[in-house]
Amino acid sequence: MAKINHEESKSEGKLYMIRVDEGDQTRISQGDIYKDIEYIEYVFEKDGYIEISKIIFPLVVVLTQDCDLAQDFKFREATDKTKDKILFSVLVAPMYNADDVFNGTHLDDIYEQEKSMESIPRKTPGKFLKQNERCRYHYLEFPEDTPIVPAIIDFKHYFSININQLLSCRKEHFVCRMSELYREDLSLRFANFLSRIGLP
Amino acid sequence: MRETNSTLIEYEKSESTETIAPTTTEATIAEMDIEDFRYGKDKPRRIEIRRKIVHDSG
Repeated sequence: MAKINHEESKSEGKLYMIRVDEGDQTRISQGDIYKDIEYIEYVFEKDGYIEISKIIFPLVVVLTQDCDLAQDFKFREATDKTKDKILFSVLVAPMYNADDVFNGTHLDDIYEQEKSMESIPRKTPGKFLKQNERCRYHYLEFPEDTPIVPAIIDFKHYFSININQLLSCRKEHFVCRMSELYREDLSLRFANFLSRIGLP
Repeated sequence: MRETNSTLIEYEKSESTETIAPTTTEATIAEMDIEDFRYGKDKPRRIEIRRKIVHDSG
C-alpha cells in the first residue's frame, strides 16, 4: 500500500479517526479494505451474444466474520481435511466518498442521473451520521498516512463476492485493514442493521 | 478464448462498451499528483459488455 503524508488538515481533528494495520498477509480478514472490486449484476445469453453488466466499486470493506474466514483459510490449505468450513463468498459493503454521500451524488454514474440519492444536510443529520448514530451508515476517517478519503459505508448496499475471485486479486487490490477494535465496532453495527425491526 | 460446455466465447470479436481500465495500478499512481492521490475519491461506475458467442463446430 502506498503511504503518503498529507498536509490537508482534518476539519474536525481526530474525533472520528480510526486506526488501520497492514492486515494478515496470508488470508482475507474481516475489516480488510479492497479497491476496484467488481460486482457482477447479471450475465445472460441472448441471440448468440453474452451480455455482462458489472459495477466497479472503488472501495469495499469485508464484513464476513473473521472466525469463518480463518476457518476457510485453514481448511482450504489443508489436504487432509474435509471441505466443511470452506466459504462460497465473502460479504462486503461499499465505501463511498463521504462528500458525495452528503451531496447525494455518490451513485450518479450508476443511475446516470444528477443527485440520484437523497442528500444529507451536513449540520444535524450529517453530524449524527459522523457520530455513527444512523444505523444504515458507518462513517470512517483514516490516519494521515493512509491514502483514503473520509468514507461512508452504506450497509444497505452490502453484496457478496466469490471468495476465489477475491483470493485471486487480493494482493493487487488490498489497501489496508481496519484495526481490531474498529472492525468489531463495524461488525456489531452491521449486525444491528440487519437485525433491526421495522416498526409501523 | 474460453471453453464452456462446448461453447467458445470469442473475445476477439467483442463489442464492449468498456471505456475505462478497471484497476488503478501503482504505475498510474506514480503518474498522478501524489499529494492529491487518495483512494475512494471516485464514484462507482457500471460497465456493460456484449460479446458474440462462437459455437465450436468440432
